[in-house]
Amino acid sequence: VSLHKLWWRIGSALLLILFLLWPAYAADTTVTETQFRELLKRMEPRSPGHALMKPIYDAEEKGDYAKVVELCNGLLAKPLAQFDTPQYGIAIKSFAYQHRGRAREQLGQGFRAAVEDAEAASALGNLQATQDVIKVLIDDLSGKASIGNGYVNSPEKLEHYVRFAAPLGDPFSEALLGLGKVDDGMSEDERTFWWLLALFSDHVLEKDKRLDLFHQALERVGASRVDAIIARYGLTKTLRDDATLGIPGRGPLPTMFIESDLRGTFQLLFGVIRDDNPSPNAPTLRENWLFWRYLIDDLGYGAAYLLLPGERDLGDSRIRSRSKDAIMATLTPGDRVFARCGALSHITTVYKREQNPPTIYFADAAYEFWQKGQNACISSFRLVDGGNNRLLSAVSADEVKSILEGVITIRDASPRGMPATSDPRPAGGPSKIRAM
Amino acid sequence: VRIDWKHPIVVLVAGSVVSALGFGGKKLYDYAIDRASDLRVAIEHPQQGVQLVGTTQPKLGDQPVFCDTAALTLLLERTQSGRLPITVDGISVSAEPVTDMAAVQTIDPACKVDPFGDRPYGIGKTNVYIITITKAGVSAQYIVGSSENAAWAVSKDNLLIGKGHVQSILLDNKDPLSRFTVFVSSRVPTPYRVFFSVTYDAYGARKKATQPILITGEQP
Repeated sequence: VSLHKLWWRIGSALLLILFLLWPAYAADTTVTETQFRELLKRMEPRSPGHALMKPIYDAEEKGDYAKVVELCNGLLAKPLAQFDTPQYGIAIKSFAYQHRGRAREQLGQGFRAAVEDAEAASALGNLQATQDVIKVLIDDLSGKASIGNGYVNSPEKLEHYVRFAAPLGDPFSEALLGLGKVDDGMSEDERTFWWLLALFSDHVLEKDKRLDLFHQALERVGASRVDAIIARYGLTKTLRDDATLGIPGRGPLPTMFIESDLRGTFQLLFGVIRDDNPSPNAPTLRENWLFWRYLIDDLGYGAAYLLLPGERDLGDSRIRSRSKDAIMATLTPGDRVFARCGALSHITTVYKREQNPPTIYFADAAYEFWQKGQNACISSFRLVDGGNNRLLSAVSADEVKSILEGVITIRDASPRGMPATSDPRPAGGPSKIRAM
Repeated sequence: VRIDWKHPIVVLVAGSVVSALGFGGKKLYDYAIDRASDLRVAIEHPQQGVQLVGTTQPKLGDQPVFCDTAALTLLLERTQSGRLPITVDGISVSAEPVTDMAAVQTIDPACKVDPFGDRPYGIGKTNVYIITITKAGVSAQYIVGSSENAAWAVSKDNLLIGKGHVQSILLDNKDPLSRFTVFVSSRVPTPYRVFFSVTYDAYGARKKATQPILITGEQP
């Protein structure tokens, strides 16, 4: 056997071994699309549905609209103290307004009755009702479909509802503001902000189209000005590279994605009701991490990084193990925080931070975790008004630090200012994380 | 002296004596049976409550040590040997620092929790006791559900008593056992012996304790 053939055989054997081992190797740091979709299903919190609304749905199904109005009036008259929580009562009342309005229209009381009940639902914080009102007002103002019956419409009224819906992540309202269709004297910068946000809130928009429109806007306005615009009008801001943690900063693209995600998370705090028997099959921290890693890679907006307290070397370029102080210092709105007190473990999203006193505000649908009755590690928790009848969970930064287990943060794929490679995914070294 | 066994008074006295003996015997029998009512108290299926780095359970000497959190069931079972129901009026939890073994041995491998194994899924209808050991002492909570009023602190000296909540447990032939789900967590990185003592009434006050488990908080 010639030396040339021997080298050829050794090379082929090595390639074969690599080929056979690759799926197991690759599975360490990634999930397949099927696994991702399965995780997505498991991540959805189980909701028992609104039992109080069931009789109304049943009456609607039977076409008994007089009964619907009667049942809705009953809910609207019920004192808030008699609901599970006052906030839940507010949400239920807003649903009752929506259903009563439709029933009144069916009973011949006119479209105006439906619109006015939707407005009442909107006043309680109901985004869906607000979206309905906006469409109706636009149709009425444009002469496409009149509300009639003496209803007084105006551009100012439309602006009021658009201004309510846009911050809650309604892509249509954001686009109306961004395109200057509802012009209440806002600056060019603010208009740019809403336009950029609309691109990420509109989930129907194709990914490539969204990226094209985003980059066009970025080129037109300039990256540094976009940084300033997000800092002024956003809940989030762009971030510099973090030398302590050794992770890239966050440019406008992942920042606007996080901005939209955070507003969507906040909006979902309205009328939240949790299942009394949460799924014991909920994804682990490892699975949450793999989910976010896959999602951000797939979207091409940047890269997800996992920050773990301690000094563990997991041999993964996307995981940093650092002191709790270093991780807490970098915690920023939009980050996913994992916390654990003994057997109770939790995932939540940072909404905002305050320095004096150091407090973290979470957009947290499962805020019960922080209640001192349930959680022996926490005594500072309080629910605070986040606006629009949605509550934020405020916890002292020190107590969060004491039970911190990990943070998932979304950043650029490479340090800011550095040229991105054709593949936005950073080269990941072999991971010591076990596959799911 | 000759006794006339046919004399009516003798018959009456003899009958009375026999009756008294029978009555006394019955009482003695009842007392013995009632005294036999007793309680079995045990920790069932203690297991590691959170995932560890690695697969080896830490040990102190040859005894397993739970790391950070132990999940267990506390069993109270009427032994069924007597007739009287048993009233349990106190369950206390004790956590004593291990000084004897720890003076000469170290926990091996060290207690390290793997955060990747955390499963964050919220609080449901749980009905569990949570015992927490910190440097400041031992605290205990009872969680019924997720709403604000569905959990409260209970006394470590009596888990059945919390602010505004008092329970007592009656175990009889029909309902002879009670199980409690308990999580014991330690935030102190040195070993503790944890055991439960139960006070109950079974024809008089009695007390029994479980075997201890060993637990430590995560170690640096």
